[in-house]
Amino acid sequence: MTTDTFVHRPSAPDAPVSGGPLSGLSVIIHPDLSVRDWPTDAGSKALAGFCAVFDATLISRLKGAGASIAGSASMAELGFGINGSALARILAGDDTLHAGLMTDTLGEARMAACLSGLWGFKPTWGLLSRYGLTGLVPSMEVTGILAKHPADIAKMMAAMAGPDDNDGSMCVEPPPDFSVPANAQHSDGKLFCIGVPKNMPALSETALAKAFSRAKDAIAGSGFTVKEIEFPDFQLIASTHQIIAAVEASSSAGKYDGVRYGRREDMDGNWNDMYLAFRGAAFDPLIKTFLMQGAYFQFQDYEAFENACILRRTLLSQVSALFTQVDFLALPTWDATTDPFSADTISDTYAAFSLTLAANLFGLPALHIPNLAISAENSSHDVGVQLMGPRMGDAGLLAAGQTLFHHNQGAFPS
Amino acid sequence: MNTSSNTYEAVIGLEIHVQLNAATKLFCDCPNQPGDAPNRNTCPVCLWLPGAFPKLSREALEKAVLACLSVHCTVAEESAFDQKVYYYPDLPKGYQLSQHHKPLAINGWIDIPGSKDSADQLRRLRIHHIHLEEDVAKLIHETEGRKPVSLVDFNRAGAPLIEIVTEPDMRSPYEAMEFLKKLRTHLRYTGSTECSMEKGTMRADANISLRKPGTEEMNTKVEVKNMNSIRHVGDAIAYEIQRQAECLDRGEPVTLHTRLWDPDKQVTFPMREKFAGPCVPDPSVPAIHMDAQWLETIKQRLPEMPSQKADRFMAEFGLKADDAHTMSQERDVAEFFEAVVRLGVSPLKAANWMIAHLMPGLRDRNLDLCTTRLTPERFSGLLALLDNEKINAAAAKEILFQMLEKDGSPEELTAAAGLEQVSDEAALVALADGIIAGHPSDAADFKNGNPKVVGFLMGLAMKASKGKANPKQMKEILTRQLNSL
Repeated sequence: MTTDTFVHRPSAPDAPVSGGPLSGLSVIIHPDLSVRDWPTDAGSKALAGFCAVFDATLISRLKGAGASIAGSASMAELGFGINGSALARILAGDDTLHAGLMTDTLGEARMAACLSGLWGFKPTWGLLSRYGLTGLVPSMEVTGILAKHPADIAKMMAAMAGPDDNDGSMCVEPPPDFSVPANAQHSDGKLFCIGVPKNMPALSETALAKAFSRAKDAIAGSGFTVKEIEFPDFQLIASTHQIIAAVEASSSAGKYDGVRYGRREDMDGNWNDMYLAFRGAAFDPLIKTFLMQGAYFQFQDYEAFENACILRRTLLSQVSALFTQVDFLALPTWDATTDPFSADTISDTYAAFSLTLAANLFGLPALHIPNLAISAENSSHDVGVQLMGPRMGDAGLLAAGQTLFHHNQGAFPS
Repeated sequence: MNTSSNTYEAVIGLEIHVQLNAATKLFCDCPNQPGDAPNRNTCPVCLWLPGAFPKLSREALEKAVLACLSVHCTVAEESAFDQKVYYYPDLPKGYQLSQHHKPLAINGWIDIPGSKDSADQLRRLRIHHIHLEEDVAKLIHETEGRKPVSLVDFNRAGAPLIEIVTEPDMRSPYEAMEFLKKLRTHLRYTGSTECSMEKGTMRADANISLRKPGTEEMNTKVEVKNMNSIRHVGDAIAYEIQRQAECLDRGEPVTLHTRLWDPDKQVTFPMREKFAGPCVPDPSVPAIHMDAQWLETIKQRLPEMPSQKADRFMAEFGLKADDAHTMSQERDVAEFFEAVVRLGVSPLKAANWMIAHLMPGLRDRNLDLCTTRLTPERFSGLLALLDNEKINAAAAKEILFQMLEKDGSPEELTAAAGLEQVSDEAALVALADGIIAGHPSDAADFKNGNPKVVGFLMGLAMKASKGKANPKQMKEILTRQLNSL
């Protein structure tokens, strides 16, 4: 049973605190983030009827800062992709809503934002608590923020970021200061330098290249330095992400075995029969295929998984080295030829998210900025600008985003 | 014993799970009390609810490190948890958090007596590594009407365990059993664990293969599980050696599989394999980075180990090797012994009384030193009464057993039981005269040169005094009175 498309829940168990920095801010979520007593099935029959028994840390921090949690929207099964997610569409179409929270594993939050004209932010891995998040790929997923205004993202990050005793995997250093003023300069007056990829095959498609070059102009016009750089081994990112994510998903989803949650059919037979029957019925084909792939690498080709882990570290060090030359890297968010909302195979899904996977594989922060890369031929095609920053560079990234917003007011609806 | 097994050499390795006695479970704050009412000690973490994350217990880590140090392991600078994937209803999250790729400690050893006959020749058995892991839930199989149902009790889920994996260094059931006894002694000394196979806080599995003596080859091994005492481990290994030898003699290959020990039938039989996969690094529990300074503070807490203690008891107190060994095997016994000595009792007397009377008395009553009401003060007080001839040895033994379960000073208990020794000369002379008068033919025997009569009359006198007569004095008086006839 998937949750209703959008369930308004005005009688949230704990009313938001009044007078907080987020007072008046209304947020919607997916049912993979725990709100006590709310259905939390993560869009999967495997968790049918499961209600959270505690508030996720992010939920209690948002409420503590005065935000109200308006309801939860339907989502893709276990948050893999955005096929079935109604959150961005609902947020964009409802004036009473300001922001949404959506788990970003492949680039879901940025992509859904891109296709709905919203801002989308994926924080550094480990900066936001995952306590209360029904996850799938622990080493890559992080709660992403969709918003109508970039300042709301910074305010929400200020309320939500930072260590949590209930999530031991988080960064130990104190979170960045999200009150950084919007500026195109470092504090010493030096201009922010934004790297754009040179000779990248993924960007050779004409319409995409054209739309993205408009964004590059907007960046340069906003006071930033733009520098062309070689983006290393970009073509390896998708398969590395896929092997590791599938293995982690196969492990994490092991708990959906019919012993604890979901509806178990009355049946004869032994435990193994029960597992087969339950898992066969609990998952839809997309997630089932993904789990099968993970199980394949776990049981049949573990070496491929180990190699992917080594490759992940190598690629990360290459990308981290780029941040000694530039402050941020810019890429389009969407390749304009795929349809992420209807991708229903693993290959289509990975193709649709080809430009957003890097930030998840490397745990880096990334901000999708709308309206600056709209195709000249087709005004409904906004391929988006995605700025990726160094680890813990979240505040600077959001400040750069707001600078672009202020310099390009005309591009944004008032 | 069939001669065929003598033509092979057994290669035996052990995998031992030991439950740490930390107050909480390994990854949450639930009480580490698996025996409580079912599913009482649970929370979102150990129930593995969506969105709950494991949080490593510092106390469990400390206790595990102490255990590693006690068997001479090197604690790794970095260790980390993996997800050990398998599907079984006692593990409803589909993986167990364990340390596969980067264990907590490596390269330990334990010395055991080389053989039953030459106890002073030591044989060193190596430990490959020790890792931390969480226990799984407990399944309880019942029936509802005619339908079999399996219930899951999560009290044990997440209980802190260490697994000790040895090198395949053991060659006989004897060596495996000695290893387990020594390991138990060392681990108990650290105070980190109860280590009872009977209570399930220590579980040992054995890997056994055979080879031609003198070769170094490693042949296909068979794992044997389900032994719940050290003796069963020895029996199961002996059975398995015999079984494999017969297999090989018949020309049948040994196949890799797991067998269960049936203690009633005294045989091993194949078990159905669990569907088990590899170990994937867990991204949610941070790696353990061993801080040198912290490790040093843990090392400071490592107590004197039993073999060091035994050496000291011989050198400092002059105990015999056997007695020194007995006094040092259990930490509570050793500490009790030293406390009694500190109170002024001669070490030899304290050891003799503990070995001859106190420890058998505890065993008969199914008690431990730490659960009785006996204190070193009361025990030394009792031995002082004996020294001062206030009571005799028989009475002291009686009072000792009373003190195991009763309060009160040795003097009070002695008075209450009326067991004070009678040393009053006049009373004993009267007693002796009465006995002699009652047995004139025996007195005559004595006169005719049969000294054994004293012993017989002595028995009667002690009985008549209800055991309270000072035996030394009584004997002197009886002899004197007989001679004066």
